[in-house]
Amino acid sequence: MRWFVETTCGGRTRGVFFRLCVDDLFLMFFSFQVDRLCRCSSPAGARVTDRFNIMSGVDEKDESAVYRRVVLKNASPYHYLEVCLVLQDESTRLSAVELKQFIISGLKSLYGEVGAALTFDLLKYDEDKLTALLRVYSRGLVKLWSSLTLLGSYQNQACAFRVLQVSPFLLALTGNSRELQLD
Amino acid sequence: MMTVDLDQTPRSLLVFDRSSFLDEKNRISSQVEQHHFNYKVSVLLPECSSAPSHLDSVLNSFKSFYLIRNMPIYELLDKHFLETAAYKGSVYGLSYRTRVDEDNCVALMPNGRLCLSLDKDSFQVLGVEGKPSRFNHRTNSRYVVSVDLTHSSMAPGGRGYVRLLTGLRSRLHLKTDFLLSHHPGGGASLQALLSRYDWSEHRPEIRSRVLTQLSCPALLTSDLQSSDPHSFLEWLGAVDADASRENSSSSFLSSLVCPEPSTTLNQALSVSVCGLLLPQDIHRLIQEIRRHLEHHLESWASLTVHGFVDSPVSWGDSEHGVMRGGENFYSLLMFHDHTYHLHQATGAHDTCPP
Repeated sequence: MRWFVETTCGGRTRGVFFRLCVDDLFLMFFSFQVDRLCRCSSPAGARVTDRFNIMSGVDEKDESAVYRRVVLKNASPYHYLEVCLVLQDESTRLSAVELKQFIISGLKSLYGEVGAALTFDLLKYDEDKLTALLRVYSRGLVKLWSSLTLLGSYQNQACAFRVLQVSPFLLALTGNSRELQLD
Repeated sequence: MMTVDLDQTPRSLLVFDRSSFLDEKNRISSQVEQHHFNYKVSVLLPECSSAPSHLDSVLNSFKSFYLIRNMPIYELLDKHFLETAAYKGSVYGLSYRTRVDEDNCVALMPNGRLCLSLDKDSFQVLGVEGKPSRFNHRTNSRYVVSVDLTHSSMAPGGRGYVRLLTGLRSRLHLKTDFLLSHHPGGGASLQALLSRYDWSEHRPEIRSRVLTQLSCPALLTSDLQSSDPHSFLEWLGAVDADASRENSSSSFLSSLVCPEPSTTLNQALSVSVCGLLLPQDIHRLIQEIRRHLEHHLESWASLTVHGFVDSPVSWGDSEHGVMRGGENFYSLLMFHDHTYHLHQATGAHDTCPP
């Protein structure tokens, strides 16, 4: 199968660019600077080699209507965290709304107003154990996680967020073998 | 000035297969068989209030497993154990309460392969040939020793066997709690090993709950070409975790909703089994669910199998590790007409599922 690879490097012309077919690419390998092609910016975190795999998989298998295989890399739009809030006074209780407001205040203190606008969801909250399931856009994971790490006090008492599990799949949070208790 | 890219997250893979059980080229059996160490199986059956009797009996017939406390790993090289259990195949073993990113982990696979995931000091003390982990970053901090116990060089008395046995017995005194599967030949083959240590037998724990008024994606009528596997898996995770799925757009707490188009189910049954579960038992469960679907027109069923987070291998002999998470699970969505959707997901320290 043939398709065309368009090569651009950061939008700026770095040399001569061609619309090539795959066979010509092999010629390119030996006559031009090879690494420029491979390191060219490409969308959605999928490199050209991965595009070959993904695209070729869909092409070959389209013939049979029954079988289809798609490999998705870094394609989850959200990341999910399981967190537990540990407070100095263990009898303190927070409601779900108070917890979310507390996390937003942490985002605001670290990243400002723009950071506080990062949307995240409180999917599940256990008030007795103070554990929560959070959902955040993948590009906001580092910001949310770092602000949880640096949140140190709640209403004048020391506190800490323990991040128990992080995953791009919510299903993975329900089957954590580290919770297996056999004693 | 260096700018830090805060948008980056570790690599994750989702493989989405669509095929049919009736297609002779389908690889579902090998994909299930190769996933050796299964921790949890959860089944979602729509329009069911209690488990059908055949399904119940299959779930209750999942094999029990043993927990041996503080077992020295050289016992897995014991001649009697090798002859009666390991060489015959079908024995699964995994170290319990060891973390693959911090401690030393051990896995015994049914084809007689012993896999040790060791940190640098333990590997150097052990003194056996091994390879650095594929997922080392810059410096080699983890090593993998993979030994085929059925190979001629590992026969008792052979050079490789003696070197490994001396290493585990005298140099690196590796002792962990160990989960061992029930051998099909009967408990007698394992009795000699078990009698030497503190052990207990465990049955897989079964939990079930009935969900009412469940909004679910319209899997049968929607255009399956355009359905997004991530949103379906998210919905399935929300059902499993019992997270709220009815949120208005103006809700402060959460905006998670069921993927559109959606229908409402009057009731659904969610059953989960936890323990050291064998691929053969899972295969029987899949066949039983297929039989159940044959009698229920216009229906579907979902089965999710979670692998152990701390297993040194995921599918087959592929190395598995934990970076921020150790997910290695697969989710099978089966339909009445014998077609299925298989989602296989892994994290950063994993190779692509088969």
